[in-house]
Amino acid sequence: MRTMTETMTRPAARRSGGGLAGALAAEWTKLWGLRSTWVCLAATLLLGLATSVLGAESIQISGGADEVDAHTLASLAIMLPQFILIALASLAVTGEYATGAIRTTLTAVPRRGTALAAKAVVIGAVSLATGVLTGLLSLAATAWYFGDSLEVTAEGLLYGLLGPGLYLALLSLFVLGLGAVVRSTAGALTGAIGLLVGLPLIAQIVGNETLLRIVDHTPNPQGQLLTSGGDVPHSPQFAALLMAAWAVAGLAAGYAVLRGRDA
Amino acid sequence: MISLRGLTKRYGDKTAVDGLDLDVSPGRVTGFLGPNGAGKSTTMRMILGLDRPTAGSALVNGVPYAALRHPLREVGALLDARAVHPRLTARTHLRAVARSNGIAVSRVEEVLETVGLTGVAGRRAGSFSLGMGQRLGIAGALLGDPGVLMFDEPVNGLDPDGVRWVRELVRSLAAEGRTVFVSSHLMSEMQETADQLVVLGRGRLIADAPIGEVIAGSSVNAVKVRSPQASELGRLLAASEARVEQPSTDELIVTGATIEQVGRVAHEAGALLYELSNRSASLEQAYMELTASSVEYTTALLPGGPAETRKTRV
Ligand SMILES: Nc1ncnc2c1ncn2[C@@H]1O[C@H](COP(=O)(O)OP(=O)(O)O)[C@@H](O)[C@H]1O
Ligand SMILES: [Mg+2]
Repeated sequence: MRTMTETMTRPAARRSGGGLAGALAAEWTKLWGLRSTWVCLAATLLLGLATSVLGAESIQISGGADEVDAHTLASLAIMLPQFILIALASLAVTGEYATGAIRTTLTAVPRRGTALAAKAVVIGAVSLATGVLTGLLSLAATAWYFGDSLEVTAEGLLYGLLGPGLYLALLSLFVLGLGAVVRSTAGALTGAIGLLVGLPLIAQIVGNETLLRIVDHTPNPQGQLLTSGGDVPHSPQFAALLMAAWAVAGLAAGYAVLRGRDA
Repeated sequence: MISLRGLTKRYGDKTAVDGLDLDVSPGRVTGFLGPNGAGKSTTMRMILGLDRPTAGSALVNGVPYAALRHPLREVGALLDARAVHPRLTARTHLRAVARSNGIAVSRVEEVLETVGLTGVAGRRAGSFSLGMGQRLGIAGALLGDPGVLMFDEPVNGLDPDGVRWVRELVRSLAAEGRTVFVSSHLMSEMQETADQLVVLGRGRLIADAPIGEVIAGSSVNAVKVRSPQASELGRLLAASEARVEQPSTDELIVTGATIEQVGRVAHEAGALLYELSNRSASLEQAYMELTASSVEYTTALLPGGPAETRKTRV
């Protein structure tokens, strides 16, 4: 243990730094400092690959196909990974509320907008990259199984790689914002899973037209459209727009609560 | 420099901090004292912009905390509850905090050394004892080499060695000209640390004075007399304005008279004295007296008196 005078008189701080760049660096450091991040991302990629392999097997068993698009299995590949990534996104905020670490975060970065933006950029970027990687693995599995009849088009690559990335990134941002609103991991995940799975399920059982119309605009169908390039009930472009709207709405709500409520 | 003006915080209909006016000056240790639930932590959270004041303002170096570009280079704070992700290592936690404020990462090793956590810096914060957690919190506060430091109950969970270490740290920080604001619900802790005492009771400012004045102002200040003629002397003193107690046959405790007055009465009575001394109140007594009156005052106004009184016991 050294005495204070010894260590405190030394100039410690650089002149610049801090701000959004500093907040980003801090979030990045914290994210990769947690083993759960590595575990979540490894599980995401593994599940994406495993479901793609299963999908490929089942296509082969049912007789195969003459031509297989490179992105055929991308929609399948994101189904399970999305639940892991929303947990990761939620924990970036709700994990800090649960442990009290949010007070350190907001003491270091007192501007709520900057603090939330830093989390959003880091989580968004990691989800985007993970989504693209998941798409890549799915594509590799497809190529492995259907090498001879594989059809690679620019459009197919767009849906197969950027589709998963975009969908998972925007979904993560929505859940991040939701986490800032409810401040509890269980709450955020219940809400997100309810929206992703519960609502579509109920709508299908009830068969109510209005409800089905609403479900058409929730995240899950957009994920399918963005990765398959299908155009029912609307175009992938509109699906991307809708996902962006979910992300913006979630973050805006999170920002409002972060500003308005005590930490 | 910390300036509070009319600082007020209400949670529902409970007033946690009530119109606090206070300046905390640099170069000395300001002890922030009050029973549990007095509003100390709430005040500190408002200074850090974590809680939004219901009314009034809290300024650090003349500006609201949130307006500081590099807040940790101006204010270092240890909060009462642990505020570290338990699954981050101590080192990673401090690195993240350093980066957020553009503080050189090499500084992390320095503060780890300062608080004596270098050997366990690679361990997860969640595995730390309460005392180690406090040291980690203090390391975080020192990271930015700030001119203003706030410690909320810093000795909580520390062993005697740790308590002494915190005391020395706090004193050396003030000696370097920093503003040091330290809270405690234990007066005994402040007695050897603080220069200035700010006493809070029920969210209200009860006292803001140099520590010597707080003791001097206590009615517990008394004159002690030992004499074989104690009883006779006691009657004579009681006949004047003084209040007299006789703990034993040859001993008197006189309040409401100066030592000179007591000496003169004894001389005029021709009494033999073994001892004539000033007995100054301990800070503990002065504090009990201060907060007791605030408790009486508030319990008279609030329903549910006795239960509330128990809460404010030291
Ligand atoms: N977030 C909160 N919600 C409701 N009441 C609170 C909250 N924080 C503190 N209080 C209340 O405000 C009062 C002051 O608390 P606190 O500032 O923690 O006191 P101290 O730190 O002096 O022990 C207490 O009665 C406490 O119960
Ligand atoms: Mg407290």
